[in-house]
Amino acid sequence: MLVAIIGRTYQLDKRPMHLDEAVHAIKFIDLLENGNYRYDPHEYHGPTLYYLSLPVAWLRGQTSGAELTETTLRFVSILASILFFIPLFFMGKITKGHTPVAAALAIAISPIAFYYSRYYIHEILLTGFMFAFIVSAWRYTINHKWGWAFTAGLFLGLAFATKETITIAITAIAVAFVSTTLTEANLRKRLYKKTDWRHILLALVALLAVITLFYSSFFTNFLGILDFMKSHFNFLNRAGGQGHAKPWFYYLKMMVYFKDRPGFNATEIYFILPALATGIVAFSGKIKDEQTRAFVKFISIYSLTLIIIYSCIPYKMPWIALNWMQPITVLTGIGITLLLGKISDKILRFIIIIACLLSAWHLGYQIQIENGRFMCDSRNPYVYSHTGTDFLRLPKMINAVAAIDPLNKSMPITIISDEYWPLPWYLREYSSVGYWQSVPEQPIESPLIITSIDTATKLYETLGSKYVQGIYGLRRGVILVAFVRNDLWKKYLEQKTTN
Amino acid sequence: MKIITTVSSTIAVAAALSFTTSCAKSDNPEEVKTEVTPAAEVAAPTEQSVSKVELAIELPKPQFQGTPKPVKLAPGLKLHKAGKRPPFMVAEGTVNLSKEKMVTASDDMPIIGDLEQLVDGDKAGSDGSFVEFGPGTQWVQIDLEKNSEIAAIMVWHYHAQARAYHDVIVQISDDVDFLSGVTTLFNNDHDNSSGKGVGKDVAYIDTFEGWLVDGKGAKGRYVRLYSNGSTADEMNHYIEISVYGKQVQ
Repeated sequence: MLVAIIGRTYQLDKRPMHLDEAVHAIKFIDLLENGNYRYDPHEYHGPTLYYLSLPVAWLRGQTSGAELTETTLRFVSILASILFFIPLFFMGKITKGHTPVAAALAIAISPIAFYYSRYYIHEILLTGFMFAFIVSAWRYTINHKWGWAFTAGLFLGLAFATKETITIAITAIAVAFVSTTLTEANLRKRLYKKTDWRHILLALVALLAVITLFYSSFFTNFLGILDFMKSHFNFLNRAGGQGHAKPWFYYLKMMVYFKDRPGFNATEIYFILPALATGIVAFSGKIKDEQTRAFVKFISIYSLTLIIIYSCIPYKMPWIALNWMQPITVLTGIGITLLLGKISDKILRFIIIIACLLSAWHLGYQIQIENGRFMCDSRNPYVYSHTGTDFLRLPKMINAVAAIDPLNKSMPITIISDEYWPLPWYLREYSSVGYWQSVPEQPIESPLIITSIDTATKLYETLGSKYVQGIYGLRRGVILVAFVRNDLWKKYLEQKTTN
Repeated sequence: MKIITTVSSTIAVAAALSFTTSCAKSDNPEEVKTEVTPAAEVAAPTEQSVSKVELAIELPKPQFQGTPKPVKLAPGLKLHKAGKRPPFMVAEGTVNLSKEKMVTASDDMPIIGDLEQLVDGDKAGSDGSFVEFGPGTQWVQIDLEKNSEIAAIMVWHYHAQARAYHDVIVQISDDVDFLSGVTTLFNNDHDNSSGKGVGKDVAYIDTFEGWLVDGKGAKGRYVRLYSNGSTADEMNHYIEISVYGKQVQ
């Protein structure tokens, strides 16, 4: 497990920034440098990602955009993914024996969890906070102590402050809660008799306090709370697809068997099948321990509801699958522990352990490929509109050319393209970068111009023979053209030859 | 910066595409050691005495798969439209010399596919037709078995998706190791990142029509093609290479 956690930190800066990561990074730089953060109900999701990045940046001694690195930003997600392990050891009676270790091991070797633990986006935080909320609320239904109610409120608040899609998770929780309590009479009676409404009130206070704190930008923008409420309408509209519409079976295909081109096939079936079997066994009443049975039922229905809802929504992104894959992976850990506990036949136990080890080996292989050779390749099921490795040649060339130019990082750079992210992240140290959607009417004086491939055609007419051009892949099917003034390019080539 | 071309060279390249001008001249000092002969300096065959016919190239089906947005091209980046390639005239009796000939490569164990696939006549863009080599500058080499006069070289890197390969260099030599008598027919490595000299040739996006390199009657037994990843990723791909010409008696 330690290897899996350390593995998450390996070469964090090697993968080019995804455009979403870059957008969040630029937003965070404003908070880091100027203390500015205002919730935007249309974009960027909730504030936790940015605020939780602050201590990580400070601890690494980074106080400006120029100092900030990919490693720092992605380390925030790694910390969130590690936090996901902690609730596993607080699952009440289920915690006894090897269950939490098995569940933690399963999470550690889950390819989707591994990949997005190294991604500066909100999803890993959301799933972590949601699971912490579920475990806290679960513990409250067992011992009815105010502390667990308070913790549940706190984590739910953090989940609300992370991403607006929390409402979908809340719907799934409601469905799972009703299904579980309807089929578990003792749990139903205990909840009815022992729930203290003061504790529920305390949880609500904690929830609202966290929401207020974050969405008001720590009491500096109270309109942010109103914006948060409005945001749900915006995201409801987005659910229609907005260019990201995919068929209903997209997630199932991605998790069960994914193949884009020859060279690599991916699957997380090793979690889906055991989790499915564990859920069926729980609903058939074959799990004798009441707490474990009820918990398994709850997680099964919660995961299933999430899969159904998200599959019905046309708007789909691969990282959304984390929402149910994390709980499904926990179910796998519980299921395997239960199975091994039931089987006394040594040969059968040996066969199951060997099957688990072989599955772990294949999952480990997938992790290695998906975070190495195919970290940006469309053969990786978790790669979506990702910046290609070829793109990294562009900032490298820009830095080399700027080092030659007398203005250095004040060198004017003109960017004319609809698609240019994550360039602003890579050009964050440059003070004179202009972004245009079409060729400006006034003559362009910049020694460096970056355009879309179609805009390049128009530029030929005005630039004459003063520039050389080169092409750079931004992401699949998107190519940028860089124009460099002849004198700078000549010096660049000379310097390259000398070196 | 890879695949750079000046606007002026674009014009030259555009002209080259109509197959009337010569190809790039290599100016890498290192190449002095390898006795590179620019294609332009190769003695032209006695064309007047040879009757010319149009080179017939069998094309695969177009197969851009899952390209999110069609790529429009600037003048410096060439893409032949279907049926728009100008006829390429070759001497009568010109044949595909590379069909099922021996292929070697900088990496004899490609990540995907086998070296034999490069000369098996399958130019389809579908899965199973391409060979994938690892990152960095990689080369593939075809042994034509006998000294040959090269009329044209057709190369299909990958055409299921819009992408341009970097540092495409095509050379001919009699030396199996390409240490001497090397003729460079095409080079678009404009920042010399592959170390074979700064090339002035045009960048292009692969399509089902492949890319035609004028052989200009250069003579040699071995044909070597370099590439250094593409705008899509670091990997190097080949679907098919066809070397057209005549064996020298």
